[in-house]
Amino acid sequence: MVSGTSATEMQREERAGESGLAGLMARYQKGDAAAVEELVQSLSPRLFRYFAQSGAAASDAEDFLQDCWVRIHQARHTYRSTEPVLPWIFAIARHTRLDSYRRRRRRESREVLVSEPPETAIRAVYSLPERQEEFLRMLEALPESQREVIVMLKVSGMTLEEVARATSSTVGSVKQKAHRAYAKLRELLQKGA
Amino acid sequence: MSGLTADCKRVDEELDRQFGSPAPALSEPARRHLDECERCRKLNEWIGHASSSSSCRPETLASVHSRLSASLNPVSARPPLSILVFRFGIVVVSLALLAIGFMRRAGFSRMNVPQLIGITIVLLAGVMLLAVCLAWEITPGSLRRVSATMATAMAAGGFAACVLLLFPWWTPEAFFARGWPCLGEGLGLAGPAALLLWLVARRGALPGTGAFGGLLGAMAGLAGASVLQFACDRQEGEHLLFWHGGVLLISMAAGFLIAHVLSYLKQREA
Repeated sequence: MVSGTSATEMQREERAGESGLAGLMARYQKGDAAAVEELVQSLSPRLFRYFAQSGAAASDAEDFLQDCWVRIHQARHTYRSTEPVLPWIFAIARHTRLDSYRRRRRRESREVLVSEPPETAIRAVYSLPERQEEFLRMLEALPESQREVIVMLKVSGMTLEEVARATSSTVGSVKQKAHRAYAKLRELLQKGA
Repeated sequence: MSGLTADCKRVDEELDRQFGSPAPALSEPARRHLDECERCRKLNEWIGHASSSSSCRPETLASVHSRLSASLNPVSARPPLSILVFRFGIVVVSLALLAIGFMRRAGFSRMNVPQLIGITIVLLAGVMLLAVCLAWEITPGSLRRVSATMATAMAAGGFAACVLLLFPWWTPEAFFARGWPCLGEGLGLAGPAALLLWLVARRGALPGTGAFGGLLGAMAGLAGASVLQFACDRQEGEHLLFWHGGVLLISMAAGFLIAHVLSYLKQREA
């Protein structure tokens, strides 16, 4: 319960600042450099966690983050201050991740392995505690679409409607994916216990 | 732990009820059960867990900030969704009216009043539905009530149902000979419609996905099919469904494929 409680506090803190994000976005659209810095500082940790916990290595997650900010910059005129910021940001983050994934898959399909790749332990970069290792292992066992929903709901602390907006789907579909993910998780825990 | 107890099921149900909550608040009996059951404790921890240790390097954030600041110009926010929908709708309707004005209007005289009203309502509703979906598609983070696939299926299904219910059903003479020109004309109209729709859509965030291409193609195809409906003198069910409906389907498939090919080429360049 300890980790659950600290997570709640952290998510509350992040959510408390959300009302100010719309104002920052409006200033960003007007070309305010200070607003850009504040936005980058406040949103990057969430985005990084999203990329890192969607199965990317630390270095890749940083690349995704940079690419994502470039896309956010190019699409900043498509935001309206009357709408929530997080789904808009995460919809772009999602496209960044999917495009990078597709690009990598194409590149890998053309590459010819001449020797065994070095055993670089991705997680060693993070040096994660055992509990988080377990958390990531369980996430990896979920299908891609379910993992994405769970990461947004439970790691990024978004609501069902925000996840539906970010993933271009409906609230019902998000609920269904979350339900299936929980069922799979229960099954895994049942096997492990 | 061999099986689920009644308390385990209670925890499951409480967690299920709180899908949207970042940290589910469990009842007192459920909390007591967590102390006794490892499986439920792990499940609750996992669900309430948010990794706080993974964070990006300050240099990365500095690099992002300097990159964005280098090209920081004021931009005007996109118009509301209703305006985008109106723009898409007006492109299709005005193009269709213009084309009908220049072409023969044999369809008007061949349709009876229920047919005329029914098909006009179905075509307009299809245009509206696809326009809404297209506006959602180019706006990141918009809340969709209907998926792109469902919307295109509804537009195509509505057209087919209207034809089946309201128009006489027999195979006309020279089915192929008189059908090909209709298909060609319809696709010839769908091309410019797609181009105009793309000009309106490109101000949004173009996702470059098949869904976007399919929607744009379907809307353009619907414009072509609408013109044919009022211009063509063949108003038999089979002709309408096969040749006029074909314009909608081919245009939708072409949009889907073109979007995929362009997306593939763009990613290869990157």
